[in-house]
Amino acid sequence: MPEATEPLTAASPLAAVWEPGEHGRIGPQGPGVTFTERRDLTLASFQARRAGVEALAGAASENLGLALPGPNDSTAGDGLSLIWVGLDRWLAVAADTNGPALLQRLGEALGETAAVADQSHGEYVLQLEGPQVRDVLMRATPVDVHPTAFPVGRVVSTVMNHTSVQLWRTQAERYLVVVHRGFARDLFKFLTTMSRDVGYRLP
Amino acid sequence: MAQRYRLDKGGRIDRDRPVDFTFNGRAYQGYAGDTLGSALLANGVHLVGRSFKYHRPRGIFSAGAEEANALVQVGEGAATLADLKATQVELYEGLSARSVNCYPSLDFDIGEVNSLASKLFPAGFYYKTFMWPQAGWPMYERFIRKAAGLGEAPLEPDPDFYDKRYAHADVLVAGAGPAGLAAALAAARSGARVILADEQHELGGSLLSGRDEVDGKPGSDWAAEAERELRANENVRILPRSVVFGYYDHNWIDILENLSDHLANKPADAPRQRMWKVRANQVVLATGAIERPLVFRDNDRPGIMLASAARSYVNRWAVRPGESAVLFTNNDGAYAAALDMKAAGIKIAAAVDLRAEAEGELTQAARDAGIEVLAGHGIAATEGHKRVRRVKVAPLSADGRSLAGEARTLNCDLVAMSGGWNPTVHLHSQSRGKLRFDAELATFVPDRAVQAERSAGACNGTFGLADVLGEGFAAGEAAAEAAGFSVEKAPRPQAGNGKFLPARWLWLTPSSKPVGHGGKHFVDFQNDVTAADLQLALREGYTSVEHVKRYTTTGMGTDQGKTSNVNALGVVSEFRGVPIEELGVTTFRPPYTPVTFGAWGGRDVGDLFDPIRRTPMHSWHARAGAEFENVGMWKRPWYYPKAGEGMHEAVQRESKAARESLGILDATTLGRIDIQGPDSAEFLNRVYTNGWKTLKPGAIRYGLMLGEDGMVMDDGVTACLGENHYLMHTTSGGAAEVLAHLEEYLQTEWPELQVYLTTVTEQYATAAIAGPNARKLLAELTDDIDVDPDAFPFMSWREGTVAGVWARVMRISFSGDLSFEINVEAHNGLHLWQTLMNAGEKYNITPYGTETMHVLRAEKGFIIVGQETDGTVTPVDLGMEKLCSTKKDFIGKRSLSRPDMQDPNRKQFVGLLPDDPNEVLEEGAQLVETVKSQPPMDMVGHVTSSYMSPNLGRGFALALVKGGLHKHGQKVYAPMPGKTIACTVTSPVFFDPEGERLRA
Repeated sequence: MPEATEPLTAASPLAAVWEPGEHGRIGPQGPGVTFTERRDLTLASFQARRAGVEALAGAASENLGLALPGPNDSTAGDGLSLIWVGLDRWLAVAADTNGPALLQRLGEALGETAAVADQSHGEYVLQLEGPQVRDVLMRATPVDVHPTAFPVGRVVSTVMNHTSVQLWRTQAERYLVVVHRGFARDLFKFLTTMSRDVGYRLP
Repeated sequence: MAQRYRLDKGGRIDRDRPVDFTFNGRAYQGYAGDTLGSALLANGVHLVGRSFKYHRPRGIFSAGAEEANALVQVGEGAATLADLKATQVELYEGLSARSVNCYPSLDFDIGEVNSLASKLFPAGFYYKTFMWPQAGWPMYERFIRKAAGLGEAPLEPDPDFYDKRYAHADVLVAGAGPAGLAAALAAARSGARVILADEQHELGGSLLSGRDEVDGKPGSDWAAEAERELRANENVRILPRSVVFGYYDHNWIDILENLSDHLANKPADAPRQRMWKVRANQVVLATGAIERPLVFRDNDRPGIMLASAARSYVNRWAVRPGESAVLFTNNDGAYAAALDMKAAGIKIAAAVDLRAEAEGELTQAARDAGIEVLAGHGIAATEGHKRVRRVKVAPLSADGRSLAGEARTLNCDLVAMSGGWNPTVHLHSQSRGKLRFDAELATFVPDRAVQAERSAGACNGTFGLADVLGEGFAAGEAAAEAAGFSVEKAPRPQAGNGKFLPARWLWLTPSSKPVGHGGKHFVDFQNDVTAADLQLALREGYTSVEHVKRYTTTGMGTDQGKTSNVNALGVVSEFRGVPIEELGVTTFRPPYTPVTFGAWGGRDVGDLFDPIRRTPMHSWHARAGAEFENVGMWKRPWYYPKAGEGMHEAVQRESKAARESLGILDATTLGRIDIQGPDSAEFLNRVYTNGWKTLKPGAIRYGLMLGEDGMVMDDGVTACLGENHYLMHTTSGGAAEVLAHLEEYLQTEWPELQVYLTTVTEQYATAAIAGPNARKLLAELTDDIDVDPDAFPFMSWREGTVAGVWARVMRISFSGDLSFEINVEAHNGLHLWQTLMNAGEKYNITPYGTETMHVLRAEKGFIIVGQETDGTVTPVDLGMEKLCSTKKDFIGKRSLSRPDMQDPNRKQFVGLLPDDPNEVLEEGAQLVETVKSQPPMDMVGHVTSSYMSPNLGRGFALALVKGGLHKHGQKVYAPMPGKTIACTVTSPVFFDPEGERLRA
C-alpha cells in the first residue's frame, strides 16, 4: 500500500517517481529524450473581457511588447511568452518563480481588458527534449507533430493518457507539456513508458 | 524425406536457412521465407484441420488472408495464439503449431460423427432443436460450444505488450502490390508524406506470385526497385506486416503492425504488435482481389485449392502442391496456374472448363502446351477422405444446370479451382463508399467514394497488369494533387495486359443428384454452409440476404466470407431467379482481419489504464497507510487504519478525535472556480437559490445550485475575494459539470453579463483542521492572522502567512465543529500538512478520511449532493426552502412552483434512529410503514446515508421518506433478509442542533 518514499516537504508532484539516470533502451546515440521539470516557470491565465480581443491585443502589444498569439500559436519575448489555449483565452508564461509579480505585471499591463488568474501551482510543466522526442510524442498524442504541421512556437490543446494537456513546441527538439498538477504523476509515468523504446534520461 | 515437394530451384525462400518447426507434435523443416502453409505443403501435409460444424477433414485452400480452412493454434501457454491462418503465419525456428477443432487428434477426430449425421444439422439447427425445455439451454450451449469451436484462448494474462502510435499522412496507400507501389511512387515523388502498408512481410503483392514482366524485367525486381526508391525517401513510411483493417470517418485509418510474431527469439522489452491510428489527407486503396472458389459437390477435400494459390505455391515458395492436378475453372485467367504447374513438373490431368467454348489467350497457350481442355464440363463429384484422390467430370447441359453425359474419372491429388475474382472492396465499403455490381466481372466493384479515397488496380475491378500499374500511378498522382502537391506525371511502365476473362458465370456446378441429396456443395468453408443450407433458408422464408446470412451463418467467422459472400449471392440468385444486383450485399465492417484485444488496449493497461488525480499530500497519505476511495478522478484518503484496525475501528477513532480534540482532512479536491467581472454578484444570484448581493469581501456564503428542473445539482461555499471577485467551491466530483453549466448560461442565456470564469481547482492545496483545538493550532502557526472569534467569525476568510507560507484561511465547517480550511499554493501543500501534523501532535491531531467526513457531516444533517440527492430531490424536499429566495429569480425556481413539487407527500429528508442502537441500516435500504410477511409492500422511502456514530453512541441514518418533514417521531421499518429493523423518524440534525460548536 505505501508507495515509494519521497523526501518530506517535497513540492514536486513527481518526487516519488523521479529516479535520476538513464532508463529504457539507450542506443549508441544516447537517450532519445530527456525529461525536465520546469518548475522555474510561472503561469497565469487570462481571458478577454468585454472590451474585446482587439483591446486586449493592443494592451499586450503596448505594455508587454508581445503580440497576442492567434489560435494554436505563441509569442515569446524577453522572459515572457504568451500561448493561446482556447477561444479568447491565453496563458502567460514567465521565466521566473514569482507568481505575484507576474499577476501584478499582467494586471497593470492588461488592466480592464483581461481577467487574470494565477495558475503557477495548478498547472505543471514537463519538458521533453531530444532527438527522438517526436517519436515519443507520436505514441502519446493524436496531433500531427511533423515539423511541417507543428513548427516551433505552435501550441495545441490535446489529450495524452486520457488527460487534457497543452503541447507547446519551444525549440526544434524541445516541447513543453502543460497539465493539471494532479495528473502530472500519471502523465509522467505514461510518457516515460512511451519513451522506453528510445531510451530516456532524467537529470 | 524432408521437403519432398520442394522444387529444386526458384521461389522467394532462403535455402541456406532451413527452419525447424512442429505441427501437431511432428517435426518438419522449411526455409526462411516460408509461411507455415507453404512449409507444410513442401512436406506433403495437406490435411491441417477439421471443419467448424461437421468436423470434415480440411486442407490449405488459399495462400493468404482469405484462408477459411487452415486455422492453427500457435505456441503454448500464456502466449498461445488462436485461429491464425497457416497461410499467413511466417515460419520461424522452433515454431510449434497445431490444428484447431479436433479431438483427440487431427487424424482421428471423434467429432466427425457430426458429418455422418449431417442431415440432422441443417441451417438454423440450433434455433430449431434446443427450444425445449428452455431451462436446458445453458447445458446444451456448453456441449455445442465444445463441439463447434475454433482455437483456444489462453487462461493466463497476456505476457506480451502492445504499442499504439498515431501518424498523419498526405497519402496513405493500403496494399503494396503493383497498384499500391505505383501509387506510392507517384505520391512520394511529389513530396507528399506517404504511408504504405501491406499485410505481408515482402512488398510486391501479386508480382511475387506471378511470372509477369514489368519494363522488361521480372515483376518482383520492379517491385524491389520501387521499394528501394521509396525507402530512400524520408517522407515515406513503409509498414510491412501491417494490415489496414479499419476505415473510419474523416479518413481515420487503423493499421495493425505485427512486430515479433515472426521472430524465433521474441524480444522481451519490445511490443508484440503495434496499432497505428492514421489520419490521412488522401487514401489510395490498392488491396487487390481474392479468387473465388467454385461451388461443386464435395469441393472441400484437402488438396482442393484456389488456382491462384497453387500458382503462388509453385512460383513464390517453390512448392509442388500436388503430383497430379486437375484445373477446374470458369475463366481464362486460371490457365496461368496450369501452365506454371506444368512447367514445375506437375502433371495436369485435365483442365475442366465450365465454359461451353473455352477460349482465351491463356486457354490457347495451355492447349498449345498439351494440356487437355474439357470445355463445357464440370466436376460432378470428388473422392478421397483426407486428400482428394479422384474427381468425376461430366459434360453439362447447355444451361449448365444439369449433367448431360457420362462422367469420366480423373485421378489427381490436387484440384486447382477458379471461379473468377472478387475485388477486395472491404475498406472502400467500410469508408461508406458505395458498391456497384459489375456484370462483366460478376462481382462488386467500388462505386462512388464518400471519403477522400480512390481505389486502384484489382480492388477496383482492373485486372490487366499494365492497366493496374497505370491506374496505380494515376491514383497516386491524383491523391497527391488533392493533398496540395504538384505532380509531374511519370511515364507508365510497360507490362502485359491480360485479364482473366472471358468467363462463364455458373454459380452452382450440378452433380448427379439434386442439391442436398448427395454430397455437399460448400459455399462457406469456415462455417460449413452449403448450397443446400441456402436453399433451406430461402424455403423457410429468409429471402433477404441479411436474413440468409444470419440464418445460415454464411459469411461469418474469422474470414468474414472473403471467399463465400459473392458465391452465396450467386447461389441465392439462381435459386430465387433474381439477378444478384437486386439482392444487395451484406455490410463490410472493420476489422478486415481479426485484431487482438491486446492491440486495441495498447499501453492503456495496468497502471496506465486510467489516470489517477493526486493531491499534493497524496504521498503522505499513502505512507500513513491510508485506504483510498475514488472521487471523480481523484484518489481521496478514505480512512487511515492503524495496526490491527479495520475500517469500522478506524472511522470510530477518527470520528471521536475530530469531535473531542482535533482532526485534519485533505480538502484539496474541491472544485474551485475563479469568478471575476462587474456582474459577478448578479450571476451568483441567478445560479444559486439564495441571495448574494450583500456578500462583502472577506465573507463566505453557502449556496445551493439547482438544475432547470428544480432539482439540486451542486452545493458549496463561495468566498468574496474582493470587489467583483469571487471564488466558488463545488463538490469534488461535480467541478467540470458545474463549470460547463455556468459557461453555458453565460454564453447562451446571459451574454450581457460581464462575468469571467476560470478553473483554479488545482492552484490550491487545502488542509481542513476541525475540532475544539483547531483555533489553538492555527494560532500557533500564524503571526499575521487574528484568530480571535470576533476578529475571524464563522463564514469568513482571512489572508496571511501560515506555516511560513502564503495562505488563505476560511472559517467554514463541514464537520459541524470549529474548523478552518487552510488554502496554500499547491506546491506548499505537503509542507503545510506536515507542519500541521507536527505542531498538532500535542492535540492528538488525527488525520481523517472521507468516511469519517461523512459520519461527522451526517451527525449534523449536512447533505452530500449525489448521496442524499439523486436528481429528483428539491431544496424543499431537503427542508432547505429557506435558502430559496423569494425576492429574486434563479435557475430552477419556476420548476419548484409546479404542483407536483408542492405535493406534501414527496420524499423528504429526515433522520432515522434504529430502535436498536447497535443497528446500522444499510444504505439504500427501502422503508415501509406497514410490514407484510413478504413483498410487495408499500415503500415510503429509502436510506441515503447510515453510520455508527461514536459521538452519538449509536447507529443513525439519513433518509428520504414520503411526507417525512411531518413524520418526526413516527415509526418506519426496513425489511431486510431475516429481520425487520424498526426506526424512528427524526430531525436530520443529531449533533449540536443549535450550531454552538461551529460558531465557537
